[in-house]
Amino acid sequence: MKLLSSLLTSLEKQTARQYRFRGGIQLPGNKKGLETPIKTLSLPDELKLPLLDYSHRPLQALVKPGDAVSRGQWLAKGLASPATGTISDIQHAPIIHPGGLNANCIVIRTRSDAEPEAQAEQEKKTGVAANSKLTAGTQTVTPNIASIKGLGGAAFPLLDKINALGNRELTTLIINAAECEPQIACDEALMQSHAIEIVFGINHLVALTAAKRCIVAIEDSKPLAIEKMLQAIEASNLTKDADTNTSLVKIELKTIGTRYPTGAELPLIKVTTNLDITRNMHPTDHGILCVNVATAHAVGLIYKQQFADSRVITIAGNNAAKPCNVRVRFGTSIEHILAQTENLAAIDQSTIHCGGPLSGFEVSQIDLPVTAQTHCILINQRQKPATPVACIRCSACADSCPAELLPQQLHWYAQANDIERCTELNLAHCIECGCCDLVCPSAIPLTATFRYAKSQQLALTKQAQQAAQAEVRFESREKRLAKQEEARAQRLLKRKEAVASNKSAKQNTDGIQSALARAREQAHNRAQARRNSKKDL
Amino acid sequence: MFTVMLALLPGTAALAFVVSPAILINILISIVVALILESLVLVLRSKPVARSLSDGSIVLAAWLFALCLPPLLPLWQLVIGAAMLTLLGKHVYGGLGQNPFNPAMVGYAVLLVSFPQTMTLWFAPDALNQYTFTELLNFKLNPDALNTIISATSSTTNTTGFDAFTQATPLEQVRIRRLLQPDLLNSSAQLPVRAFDQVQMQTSPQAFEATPDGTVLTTPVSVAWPWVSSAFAIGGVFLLYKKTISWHIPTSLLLSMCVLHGLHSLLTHLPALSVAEAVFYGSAVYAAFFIATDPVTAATSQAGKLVYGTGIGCLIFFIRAFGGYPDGIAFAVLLMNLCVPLIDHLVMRATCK
Repeated sequence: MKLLSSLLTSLEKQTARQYRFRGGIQLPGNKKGLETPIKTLSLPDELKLPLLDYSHRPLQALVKPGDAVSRGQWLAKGLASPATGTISDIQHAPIIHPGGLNANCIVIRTRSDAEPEAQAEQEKKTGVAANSKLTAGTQTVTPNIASIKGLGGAAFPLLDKINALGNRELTTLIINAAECEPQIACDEALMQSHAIEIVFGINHLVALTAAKRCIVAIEDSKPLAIEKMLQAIEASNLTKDADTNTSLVKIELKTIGTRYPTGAELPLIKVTTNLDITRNMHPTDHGILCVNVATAHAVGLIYKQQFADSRVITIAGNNAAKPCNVRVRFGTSIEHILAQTENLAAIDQSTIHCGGPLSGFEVSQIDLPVTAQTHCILINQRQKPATPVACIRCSACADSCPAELLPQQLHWYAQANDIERCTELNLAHCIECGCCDLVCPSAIPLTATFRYAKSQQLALTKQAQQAAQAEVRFESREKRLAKQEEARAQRLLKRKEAVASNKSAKQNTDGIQSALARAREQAHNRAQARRNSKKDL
Repeated sequence: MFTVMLALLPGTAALAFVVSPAILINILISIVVALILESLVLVLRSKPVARSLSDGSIVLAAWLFALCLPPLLPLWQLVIGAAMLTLLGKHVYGGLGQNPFNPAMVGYAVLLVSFPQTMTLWFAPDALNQYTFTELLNFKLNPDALNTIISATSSTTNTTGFDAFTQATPLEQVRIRRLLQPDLLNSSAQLPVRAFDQVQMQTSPQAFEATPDGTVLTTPVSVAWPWVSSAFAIGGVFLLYKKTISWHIPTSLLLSMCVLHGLHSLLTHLPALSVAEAVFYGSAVYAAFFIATDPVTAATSQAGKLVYGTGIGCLIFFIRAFGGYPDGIAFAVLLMNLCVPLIDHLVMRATCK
């Protein structure tokens, strides 16, 4: 009987673990050489911060060149200064972007001697004691929470994410620690070295959002991170057991299978809760929130009265001399990072790739500032890109697509610039994971095509919006003009009526007419005389 | 493409061994003709020749096409077929990835409707074994020489003419055999007996040779044919293992065909092919794994593939059971190729809401 029940429970565990999302690919891990502890870089002399929000919309600067700024001060809405110093310039400079775009950037000349001062200031400013008791829902939102951006790759502001819930109850808070892409190990390194701080942050997040359940999902390829996290979570759960007053839920740890891209939001929700989110729904509609583990750590930092203006970046790639994980301030240039980590040697023979090997993209220069989105820099051997050949409609791309799209059809229409059809085929739901690129036997750059099509789509919607706006304006103008015209016609009519009524009263119009005729004759004669005198000359 | 070629090797070897090495001549010549014509077209369309040729698609198409042909098909007809495959099957639509119809089947269908007599001329097993490779080549170049040989053989073996040496396609032979077997006709009311007969027939075709029912039965249907089909099946399983093809098309094709053949043989009072015969004595296995799975001309989605495979399976059955052609693979595949855009569209509409 005992055997049977233990068998059943193990079976339950097995089946519980075997939720699978559709599509995706099995990839070799390849995270060698990243076991070293996280290095913290020295503060660079110059930080460059693009004035853009997470979806590359421009931000209005709140400072001007010459201003002195302190660490944590708002430079723009949602953009806190990562260091104390002076604004030396606001310039148009290249940023990390798949299309190699330029954007307005705030350049800060930093003062490293002001660092302890800024820290003391921060502790004074935020009155929340680190060890105050947590109860769900009563947690105050300190202003610095607004500076936290999602560190999973999209850099979506954390507060906006929480606010998207609205009045709905948060049934499940999922802490995304899957880190499914090969070669990236920044979250793994963070979990190995800062598990307690992460759990501290998670508890604050739970308190902040009043979550009913909290699951930390880690891929089974990270045993050490799982072990460390498990220890920290158990310790935290024990204190919750001891404290009968707390209403905080216990944190659950879920080991999930290694399959790319489990770390993406919808696959992760499917894998952890077996919930399929349909196309027109949002996770928040189901009361689910996914927060990256590094973001949870940043929350912990804020509640420990520190700053959340840095992130861990993985430096890897087959040409990286010293693969490592480094903590860098936002706005640090890639060049500075590579120089400090001694990876600058083979740079001439290498390509620099920002983001993971699948979801990332190549950048053409290294003088680019890193942002919250940059989780990985790959230094790869320069390779001749494979020449794409014709699509043979093998549909391997569709089979591997975690968003259940038809990449081959999308590619077809994107090439023909038929953006409307792309929209019909749910182009917007492409998460740009790069699975299709990897499986394509014809080496067609599908993701790049989709990025292009998306930009076209964006341009089209903008155009449509502008057209709609112009139409509204035009219509209101027409209305206004018609109104004016009507008013004028009315006025004229009134005047005419008035004139007509006067006509009968005053019969002296003939006199006026004859006077006008005389005046005209005089003018004519004068002109004649002038012409004659010119002829004489 | 190269994995598919590798998978074709056992089937090709079996076919060359069972029928005649002349099959290899067919393959070689059609590949050469197709390569030359493709190069020509690529030059005319100012496309990179070496890069386009190196994908191996035309070699594979020509190979697949040649495998369907009878061994001693006259050379000029073979050349016409290979030319149709390259030009009409592939390049009029814009080359690789653009063609709606399976090129190999286009070439085969053109030959089948143009030269029905030579295209259905198969040979008794071992009949060609006495000839050397050069003699076989000579037959292909010079159809008259072949006719002389055939009549000479007929006189020596003392059988009535052409049929001692030549045969219809293997599947047709089985079918005719069925028609001429009175025992089977009588026993069609008694299913158990009939089933027994079928088993007996498959296991020992020689048992039927003794029956003095006419010329067709004097030549045995080769037991080797199932071996050829099995060799192709091995290649197909290899492709499945390598994930070059998905299971959807072969499974749905063979399953639907078997179900219909099974129902037909159960329900009809006329003699019909048994399920095993339908699978192993035609080119159904070959078509299921190598022809229908051509990604360019097949449906793309998994659901679409199931519909597509089932459609081919059903059409094969209907053409065999009620149509004029003995096998009907080519027309079944081409007809379903025609339906692929519709299938894809409907599946897309169902899934992309």
